[in-house]
Amino acid sequence: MNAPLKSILEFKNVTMSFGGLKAVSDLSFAVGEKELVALIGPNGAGKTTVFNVMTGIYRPQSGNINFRNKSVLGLKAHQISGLGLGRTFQNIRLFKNLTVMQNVLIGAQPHFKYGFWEPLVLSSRFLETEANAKKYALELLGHFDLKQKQDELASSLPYGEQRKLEMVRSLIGMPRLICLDEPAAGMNHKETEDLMNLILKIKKDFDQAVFLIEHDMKLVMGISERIVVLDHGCCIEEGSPEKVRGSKAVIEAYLGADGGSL
Amino acid sequence: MPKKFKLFFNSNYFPLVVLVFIGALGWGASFALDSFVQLLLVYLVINMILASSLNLINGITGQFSLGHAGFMAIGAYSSAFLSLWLNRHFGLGENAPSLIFIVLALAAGASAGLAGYLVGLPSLRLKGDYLAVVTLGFSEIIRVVIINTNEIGGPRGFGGFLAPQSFLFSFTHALFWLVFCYFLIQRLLKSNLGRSFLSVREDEIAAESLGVDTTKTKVRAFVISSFFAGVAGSLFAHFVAYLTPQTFSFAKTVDIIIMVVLGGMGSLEGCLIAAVIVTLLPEALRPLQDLTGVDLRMLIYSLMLILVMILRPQGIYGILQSFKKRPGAK
Ligand SMILES: Nc1ncnc2c1ncn2[C@@H]1O[C@H](COP(=O)(O)OP(=O)(O)O)[C@@H](O)[C@H]1O
Ligand SMILES: [Mg+2]
Repeated sequence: MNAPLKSILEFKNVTMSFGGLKAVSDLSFAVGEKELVALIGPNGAGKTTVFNVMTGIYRPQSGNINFRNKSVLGLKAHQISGLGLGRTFQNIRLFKNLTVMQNVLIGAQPHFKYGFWEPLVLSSRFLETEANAKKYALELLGHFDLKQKQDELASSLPYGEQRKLEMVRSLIGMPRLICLDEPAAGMNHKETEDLMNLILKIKKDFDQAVFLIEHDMKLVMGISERIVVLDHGCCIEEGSPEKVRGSKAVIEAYLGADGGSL
Repeated sequence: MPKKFKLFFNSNYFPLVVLVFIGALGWGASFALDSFVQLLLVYLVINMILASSLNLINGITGQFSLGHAGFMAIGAYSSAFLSLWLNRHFGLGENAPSLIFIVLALAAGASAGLAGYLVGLPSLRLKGDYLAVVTLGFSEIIRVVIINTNEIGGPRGFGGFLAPQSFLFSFTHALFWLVFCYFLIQRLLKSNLGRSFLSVREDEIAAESLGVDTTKTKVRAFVISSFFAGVAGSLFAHFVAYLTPQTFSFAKTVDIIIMVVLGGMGSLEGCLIAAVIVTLLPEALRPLQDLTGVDLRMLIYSLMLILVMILRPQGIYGILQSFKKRPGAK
């Protein structure tokens, strides 16, 4: 295994079961600083569960998860987020009745340091902080071609733009690792290609690690530095895109599951 | 300065117009001396405070509290009791300085806020409808405790505490708290805390994943909300100068919830107007009730709520919005 030299995220023998079902089973892997790693596997392999245990939504029954050399077990989801772990959701979880701008600003938690009364008395610190946050939000929205939509309701955006908005909302908090759960789901060919370039741009501009769950093999093979393959909650292969593409275990898992092609 | 003015009101002067209008009515009524109109006006302002503050927790933060009357009762009784105590020790009598009522309102708000913290902390940690159950139980307990406490009159009621002599003061004092409550919430909505309230209502899991401490956020909303319910209780107590436990029954909470739902959950403007309707409707219906001998109030409320739910689920706020969004009118 070519594990990264300095890892930002480490899973050590993590098991997460729901009743009798082991969604993640004795799983160990690592994501390096500034690395772009993809997590793939057939439907129901346990990929989303991996995200959910590391972001504090579920607590695994055994094993350990370290993020930036700190165990996240027992921490609340917002505390883990505060350590610099950002994510998006497979079934989009935007604040639907709020505007695009409000959505992004809620993601900017670490930027706001003013006191309770300051919004009422319009203190200069409050006004400046808000103005700067909005400016930064607009800049980010601009990267994702969403600038014009800042005042629209999140629910009114088309599907692809909702996915992008979720990414902006997470990015504005300046996470050290961003986890994207099937960002290309429901996107057409052209949109997927644009997304691929965006993810590469994010990684470069924000100098951060990316952990990506994705079904679109062209996207995964095109941008990943390393791939972890999951089946029935276990890691069945790990390595470079070339290695994974040629792996017998991977082909079997996919053919056995849904006849998918690599 | 004009720029800050615009910023403060968020370029929406409707609430300002409503408040100035009510203020003008009240100051006018202080000369007209019709005590019934005066009573209604103070009730209206108190109801507006209750509706705006309940809206913070039920509409804006998306939790469901059924205990607002309980927090109002805590404010009312603690304020009345404290004034009695102050009177006994300092002999303020009839000519109690007006400032004392502001201090009493603050103290009432603080005690209701503390109660809100103690009730909210355990119940808001849990997901689901625990808050509704706990707050409903809480407000009933408060009522039962009052009924069984002789020092504050028990079931007979509680009187003989300090009351301001001038209507003008009572009204202005209440209006001051309404303005404070309304604009505090309105300004908070444009800040990180306010957006966090909204994010909790919209999607707690997403909010947590972005670093929002949802439990803390909910407790904060709940404490602010209870604080103003306590203030409203204090205003009510010293204005009517006599308290009975029945005033703070579940029916009071229902009244306030009707204002919030009718106004459009989460809309501050809407619930101001709904407060007008809910305060004045029983009076408007009184002739009809005298004629027919039945209490039509609840019937009309239910009918109104059903119609609003079917025709305009966003309540009065939705109606206001549809005026704003008419083609041609920006
Ligand atoms: N909250 C849950 N309760 C019960 N079972 C769950 C829960 N979450 C996931 N699972 C189960 O765990 C398995 C893995 O699910 P998931 O991680 O969503 O897979 P993937 O994202 O790889 O498609 C599935 O069998 C799923 O039904
Ligand atoms: Mg999944």
